[in-house]
Amino acid sequence: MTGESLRPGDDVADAGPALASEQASRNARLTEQRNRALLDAIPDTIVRYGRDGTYLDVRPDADTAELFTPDQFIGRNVRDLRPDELARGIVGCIEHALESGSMQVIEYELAIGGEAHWREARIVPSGDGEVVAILRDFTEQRRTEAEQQRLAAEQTALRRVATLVAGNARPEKVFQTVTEEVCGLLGLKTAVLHRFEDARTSTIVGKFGEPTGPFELGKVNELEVGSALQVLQTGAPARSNYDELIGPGAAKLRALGFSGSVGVPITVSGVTWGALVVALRPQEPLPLETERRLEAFAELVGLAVASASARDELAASRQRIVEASDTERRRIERNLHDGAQQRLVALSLELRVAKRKLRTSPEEAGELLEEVAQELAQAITELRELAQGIHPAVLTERGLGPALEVLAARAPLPVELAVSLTEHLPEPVETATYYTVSEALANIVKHAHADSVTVRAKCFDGRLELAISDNGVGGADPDRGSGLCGLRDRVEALDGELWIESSAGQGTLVRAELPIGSGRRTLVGKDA
Amino acid sequence: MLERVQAWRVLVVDDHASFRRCASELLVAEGFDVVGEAEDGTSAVALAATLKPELVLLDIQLPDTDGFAVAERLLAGHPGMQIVLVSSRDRSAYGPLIEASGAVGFISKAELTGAALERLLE
Repeated sequence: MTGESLRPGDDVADAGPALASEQASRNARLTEQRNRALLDAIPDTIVRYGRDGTYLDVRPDADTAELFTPDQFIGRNVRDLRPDELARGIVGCIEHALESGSMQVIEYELAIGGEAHWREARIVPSGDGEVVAILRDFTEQRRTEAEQQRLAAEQTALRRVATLVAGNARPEKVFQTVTEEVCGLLGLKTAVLHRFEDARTSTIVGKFGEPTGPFELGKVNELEVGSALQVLQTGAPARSNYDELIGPGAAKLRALGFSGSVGVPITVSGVTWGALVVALRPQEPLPLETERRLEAFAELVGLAVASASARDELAASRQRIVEASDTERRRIERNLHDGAQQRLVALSLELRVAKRKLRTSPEEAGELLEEVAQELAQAITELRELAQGIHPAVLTERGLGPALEVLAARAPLPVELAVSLTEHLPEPVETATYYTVSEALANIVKHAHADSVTVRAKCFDGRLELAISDNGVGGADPDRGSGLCGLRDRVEALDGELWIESSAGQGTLVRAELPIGSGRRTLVGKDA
Repeated sequence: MLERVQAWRVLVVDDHASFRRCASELLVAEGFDVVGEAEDGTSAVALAATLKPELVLLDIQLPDTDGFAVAERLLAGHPGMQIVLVSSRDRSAYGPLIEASGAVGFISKAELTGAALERLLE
């Protein structure tokens, strides 16, 4: 597009003088009307400039009409009303448009009503030494673009951290990356990650930038002031302006070159685990939406911590299972060695003595043989009991229902059984259930001072639901005692869950749920 | 085998009373002189010093230490002492440790007889 269509009179160059003159002036009017109509149809601010930058006419758009009137401009020069550099740029464009006859475009930033505005001026020649400038405000578009870029950068950074978390990276690596990413995103120089130790202490587990002294990695600090302390106390995002704080704590932070900080909580399983904090230096403006952006990262840190702790928990549980199995093997070996084996060794020696005595003193030999027979019977009993301890035969031969009946009958207090097992249960589920009941009964006998126990077991919705309740003293601590811990490992290894409710004076309820579908745990990540 | 005029003086060391009783009974019946019994390594060393047995029937698995350590201490104090290690486990459970212990040999408890002992002492 060029400015030529706006030049009046071009289309009447060949007409006769008088007629031509009249025709020309009519055409000029028509052209002007047409141009006016065209200009009126444009919603933007329109300015008519003289060659030297004088405002000849101004028609503000709807938004700027509230801020100024044309009278403030008309007759004055752009050099007097706009900053030097901008004015030079505009006048340069006007001259260039007039010389070349083609449209010139200039983009510039201008403070209007105290706010930065981005504008574009399209300048077209419109007559002798005149131009028309159409001014379009694209501040909103500029903001949207900047916001989109910011969001895109944030998403990319979050994705990088999320990839680390999903890949089971060590939490330390995630902590470091997060502090680095938030600094990059927010345009700040310093970020630290606190892990709260108690009501006033934290350990620095991640840092980026140049935080020295108390913010070195691994430092344990007593929190005196600042946003980390506020996060610790409130569990909510916090801002801190060190200039407004008094005391040695704030002075120390100021001495390190910081003027303030913003912190957000890192929550793990509903508990405020730590804080992600960015530090501000004097003159550093608080970035837009700092808290919201920090929170997105804090959430990923929380996930990383939770998943690492779940992994540690799983590893610990596996280790306990292995240890329990080793202990059990040692116990069985020891029992065999000290019990039946010793007895049989002694018997073999006694039989030799008896053989020797058969000729010399047959009576003594007879007595000795009688003793041997009795000892053999004892050895058999010991072996049977040992075998029973390794695995209850009734469970293998008759299944869970009858095995629970045997357990109940053997208990030294009345046990009511409410067992309805309609489905065939996998062997590991039966075994876990049997040992849960067996251990719970042993605990009740030892600690509960109960006079009755109820054992309920039923299949529901693909799960076995088990509950053992007593009317004893309660107050059992599920974290104490290797028996309960071992049971929990056994149940959780089958993807089940175990709960213990035991308020003092209220009896104890041990509940377990086990999926019947599969007897094996599906390892996270293995099949995914 | 040289015919001994006097019976071997034996100390029986084992933490299981039933074995000590049966072994003593058997050895006495087969012409040995059981001079004492000890239930752990410490009392074995102490008794050996006072009773001066010629032969120690020494269980490998003891409550306070093991038979190999006891053998070492006994031989250090009484160089001519004959030591026979016993266990209810098989010889293969200990392998080269038996050779290295300075004992004259090993007998599985179930195979203990006077004749087996004498074969080792030849």
